[in-house]
Amino acid sequence: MTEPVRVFLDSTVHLFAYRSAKTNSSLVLGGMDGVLFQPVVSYKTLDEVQRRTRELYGKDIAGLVRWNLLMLPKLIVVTEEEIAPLLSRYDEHVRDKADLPHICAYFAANCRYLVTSDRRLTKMEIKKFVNFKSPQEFVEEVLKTKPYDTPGGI
Amino acid sequence: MSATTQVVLKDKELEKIDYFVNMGYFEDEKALIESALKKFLYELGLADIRSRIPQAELSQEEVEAELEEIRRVKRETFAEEKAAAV
Repeated sequence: MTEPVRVFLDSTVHLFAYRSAKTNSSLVLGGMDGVLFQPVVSYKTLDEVQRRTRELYGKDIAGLVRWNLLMLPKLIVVTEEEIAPLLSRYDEHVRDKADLPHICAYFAANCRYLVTSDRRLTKMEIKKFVNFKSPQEFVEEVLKTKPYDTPGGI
Repeated sequence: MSATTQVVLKDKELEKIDYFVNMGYFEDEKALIESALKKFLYELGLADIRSRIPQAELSQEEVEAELEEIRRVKRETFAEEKAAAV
């Protein structure tokens, strides 16, 4: 069996997918079958998603969301130990340091795509090294599916 | 997801896995089946969560506002972990 393509999914993808089924973020997650495409997140992604869902919907929903996210088929969760050795290598290319661990997780897991709705992140110098896709681009170009027409392609 | 639903799903999952294992499927097939089952459980959980929270198609302004909130959360999480590590 050929190895699935690894796709790093940042917190925006998960959070917008919970808000509405009619989003490209939802289609992206639907494409993560663990066979052709393997989802990758970092522990920080899990924390961010849980923290924001707690703010929006309360702790019970946040708990369900964390459990649900971990059910993604063949999910890879990149640990802090895997990220730490890469931080200094990419530091100068990432303006907002809060984004640095996610970029390093992408490299640590040997991902082919990083899907995010955060256009500020995709404009940083690191774009020379990272294959960024918005959810809409990923749906159109990689999943070859008709995307939803959503603000910012979320 | 309710506890009852989880028990039913677990039974179904085990039944399916037992069936395919007993049919003598090889490792590749087992991996495919396990992935399909996890995807099924994930999507069921996603639908369950969506049924419990307000669903809305967001405007451009709402998307931008939410992105700002997510960036704030990202910065706070990063800062707290950095402080804890010192």
